[in-house]
Amino acid sequence: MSAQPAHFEFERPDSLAALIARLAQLSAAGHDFALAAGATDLMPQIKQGVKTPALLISLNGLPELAGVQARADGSHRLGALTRLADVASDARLRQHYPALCAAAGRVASPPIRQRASLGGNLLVDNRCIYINQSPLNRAAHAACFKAGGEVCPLVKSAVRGELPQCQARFVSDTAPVLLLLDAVLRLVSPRGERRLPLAQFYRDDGMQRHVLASDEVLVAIELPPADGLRIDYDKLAIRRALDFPSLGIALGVRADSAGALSELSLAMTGIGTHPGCWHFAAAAHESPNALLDTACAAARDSATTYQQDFFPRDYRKRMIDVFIRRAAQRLGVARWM
Amino acid sequence: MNAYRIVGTPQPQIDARDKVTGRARYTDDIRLPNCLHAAILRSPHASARIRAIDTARAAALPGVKAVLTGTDFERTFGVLPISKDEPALARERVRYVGEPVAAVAAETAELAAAAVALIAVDYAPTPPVLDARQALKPTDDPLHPELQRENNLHKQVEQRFGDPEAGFEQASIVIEKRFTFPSVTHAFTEPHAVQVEIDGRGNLTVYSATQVPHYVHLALAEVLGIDEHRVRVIKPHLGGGFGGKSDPFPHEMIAAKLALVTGRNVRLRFSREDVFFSHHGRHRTQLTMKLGFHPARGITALTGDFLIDGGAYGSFGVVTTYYNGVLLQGPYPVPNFAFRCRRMYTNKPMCGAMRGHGGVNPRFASEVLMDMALVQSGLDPCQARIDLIHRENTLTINEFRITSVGLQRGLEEAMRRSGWREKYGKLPYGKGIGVACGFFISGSALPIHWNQRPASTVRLTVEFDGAVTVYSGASDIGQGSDTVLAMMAAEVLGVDLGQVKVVAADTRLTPVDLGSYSSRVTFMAGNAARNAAIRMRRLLVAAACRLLALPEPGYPAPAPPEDGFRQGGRAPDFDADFLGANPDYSDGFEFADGRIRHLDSGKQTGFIAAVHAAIEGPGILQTVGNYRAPKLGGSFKGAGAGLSPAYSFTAFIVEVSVDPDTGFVKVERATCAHDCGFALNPLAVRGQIEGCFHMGMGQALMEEVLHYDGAVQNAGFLEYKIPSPFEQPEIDLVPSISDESEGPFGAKEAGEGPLAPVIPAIANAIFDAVGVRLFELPLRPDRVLAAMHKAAGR
Repeated sequence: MSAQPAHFEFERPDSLAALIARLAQLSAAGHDFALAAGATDLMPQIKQGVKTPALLISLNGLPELAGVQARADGSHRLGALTRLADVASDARLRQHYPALCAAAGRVASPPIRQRASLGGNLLVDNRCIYINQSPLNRAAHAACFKAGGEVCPLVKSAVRGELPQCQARFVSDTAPVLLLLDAVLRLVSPRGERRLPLAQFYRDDGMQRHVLASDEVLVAIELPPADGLRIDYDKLAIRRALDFPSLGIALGVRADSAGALSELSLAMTGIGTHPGCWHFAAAAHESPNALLDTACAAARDSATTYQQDFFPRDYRKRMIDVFIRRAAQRLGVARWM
Repeated sequence: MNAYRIVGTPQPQIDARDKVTGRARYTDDIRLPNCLHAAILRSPHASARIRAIDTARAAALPGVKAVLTGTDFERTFGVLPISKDEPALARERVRYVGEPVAAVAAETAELAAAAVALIAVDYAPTPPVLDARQALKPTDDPLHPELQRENNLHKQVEQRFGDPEAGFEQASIVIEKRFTFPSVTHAFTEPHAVQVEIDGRGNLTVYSATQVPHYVHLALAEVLGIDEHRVRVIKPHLGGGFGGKSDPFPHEMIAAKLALVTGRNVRLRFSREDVFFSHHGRHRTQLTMKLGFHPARGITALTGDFLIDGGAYGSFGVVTTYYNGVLLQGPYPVPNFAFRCRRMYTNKPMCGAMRGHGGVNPRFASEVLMDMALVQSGLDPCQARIDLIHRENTLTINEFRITSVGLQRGLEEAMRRSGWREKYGKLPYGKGIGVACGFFISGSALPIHWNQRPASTVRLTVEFDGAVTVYSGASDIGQGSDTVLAMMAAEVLGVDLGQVKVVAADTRLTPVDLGSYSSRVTFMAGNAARNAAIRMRRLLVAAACRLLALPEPGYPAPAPPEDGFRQGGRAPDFDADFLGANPDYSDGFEFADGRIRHLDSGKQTGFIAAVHAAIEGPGILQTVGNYRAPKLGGSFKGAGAGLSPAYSFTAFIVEVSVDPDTGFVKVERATCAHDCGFALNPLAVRGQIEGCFHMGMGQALMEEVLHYDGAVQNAGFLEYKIPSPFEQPEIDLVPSISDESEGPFGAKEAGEGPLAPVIPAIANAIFDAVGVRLFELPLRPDRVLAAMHKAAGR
């Protein structure tokens, strides 16, 4: 009885055009709404009163957002509505982007993956133990910025309006792999369509997390051919199922035409407000170990951890090196140079 | 009499099909007509004075039928008569975040929630006491001034047996360590729910998700100030309890009061968050334990000092306070023993009974210390434990009567099956094997409310159609008590399991059973059901004899006590036809396949024919069976705590992998020897043991209730980490091989005892794997890694 039953209107447009027209209308009127695909991230927040949309618009009737298409050039278009379970099991994706399938298969649990979409996982809200709470818990303390208050329990010196104002952490399992794959987002709004590299999508703030406009819809994720890029993804979580990553590391290796390692790429989730992503040229390093040292240092130096998760902050930071080196071992980085 | 048809065979629970197909009705599934919805306003403060509550706006909302506050209840309550310290709604002050402060009944759930939000409470926050050590400090404003103490002590227990100091002198190894345990919670599947039906005469039928309908019945009458006969409590299907539904709760009082005030039916259910805020889980514990050990003498002394954080109210806490100490009297003899346990009040949700009640955290400490002592002594931790376990038919130093003990053979078998001798100390770094033992009561011998009535009574009928109905107050909370009662009745009466119906946990229709707690049901209600069935069998034999022109067989009187040890000096003719516990029921007849056959003559008649013959006179065939624990125990203060007619014993051998880089612990496999006497339903026993392992592993590796300024911070199953199925290993189960002469068909408990040794077995396996000891739960990866680094001098 802590939470009040949520009240919202519900709409389910059946074409992208109809949705965009509706969004134009709602934006003009300043209406408070939320878009939902699987709603596996949204509904718990509505139940906890963290989000209180007056209108929930389902994307599930939009054919434009569905399906996986392979193109002749080896690139792929993944509809934003593609369920994570389908991403994990799609034969073409398993052939071309096995790490994406693996990462999708590590999200939450089988029932949730049946509903949750790939687009939704890229847009999953940042989390913090001080905001993702029951209303009663939040009522017991001064409200944090994300709850509309004036304090941050993690950074006492933080000031509203100064970025980053919120340290809620980024928790998508699929984003790091998609970053290494140079994914491009297709976004549609009443102002038209644009293509935006995923690498330019996220912002350094736990509240204003990305550059998607409120009336803009993520329609599809486009992936160029994998082109010899091999990726390993693993996450730090106390359980094999259910948990968001306390840390997630995607490591990519690419070979040159002679089969030697040319580039190491790294993306990190679970720590920080947005995913970190780095590329390192193998040629600039004299040994695989030196290359990995550089990668570990880059990730570690970028990471500020807070006491906001199951694992203590220093442990999560310490695990960055471990996860990078283990991924490198699985990918056989040492053999490549 | 050993060739049983039904008991001893694996039987799916009789309601399994209903549960998995969604047909079973849980409390919240019931649809009462014209029902109001209730909602509770909970305190956002850990500690505050209530200056005023303004309910006017809530009451004025159309559709709101009643608003209650603390002043609507005169009496406080509590499951134990000695600590009735909890109000249904807070009065004058709130003592934890989540404490019910006001309640509303309205036409819809939405209206009720909206009305609750309109209640304005003027709080004056006061500094909260959030830790048991802080609670020890003198204060002029204790949580419970009625106790007239200078600090926030709720209960202190000190006991001393033998001469611990002399015992430590005799030891070759003395180890003393401090241990820390967070609070953990039951995490049952079904949140609390209650529905109250009121009739035109003001009688209340209360459907509640409870383990203790009888105690709820008594508490409702007392708190509402109505005659006990106006209350009826029914427990519908229940989705797990683990001790978390073994108290009367405020929401039950609130819903019943709302029904009385409005004259309408009322429903109320908890969200998962409400369950966490209500808690009643395992106490946060800080303890120091000292073990004296000598290779030739075994344990020479054991002492402990326990500080347990009880939260805001008493609940079962007085019992917990005792159990922390007294349950250390097994599984090994402890000749010199002393402990002090202090339960403190703090401004947090209250703690109470949770599976393995009070014995789990001390067991971790004692089994880790034991392991350290055995390793230091150069003894094999498994073999040495086998040599130390209690012998059958002995008394402990605090006068617990130990009857059957099957753990020596059980652990020997577990050693063989697990490959212990090939593995212990011989696995590569990062792989380890560990062992720990435990011991638990098979039902508390003494009732919570002192009375002379049986601990459990069962009424049994056979109808004209041959249906056998067991009427029992026992609460099936998912553990399978309905099934095991039906199995026993079917066995004695030679009928199919499907022919036995169970009417249970309805305080109007069923005789009193005290409830599903302290692992008492199979033993106590089981003996009662078995005795009722034996009496029914005698009626049917008499009828068969009339039909077959045979003389009725004579039945021996219960055997006189062979010594004071067995019967505690009590005369066997306690009542006129006292059957004793687990009496033999051979009578020269065979009941099978719908026939009753005289073994000597071969004469036979049909079961139904005998029923019809027997029913002719009285018009109804009904018998009663009951169970009373024998008189047990010493005469010193607190001697009653931990007394049980029988004790279960458990050993777990666990294999783990410890990741040297991350500190992650993976339990690879487990072997369990649990001495539950005769396993009445081996399938249910396996279920209980697998559940115990899962729960114990959760507490060992990841579970912990977190608080922020006193507010539960992980009030949900995403952040309160229960192991997923991936973490659960295969468990190899050694069949139980003891025979408990007083248990029904030789059975003892299996629901709680197996939990406690899981945790130290994992810890001891971690030591075997990577050479580190941890003294704080949970054994999180970061803690394991830090200990490994410390050991390596990093």
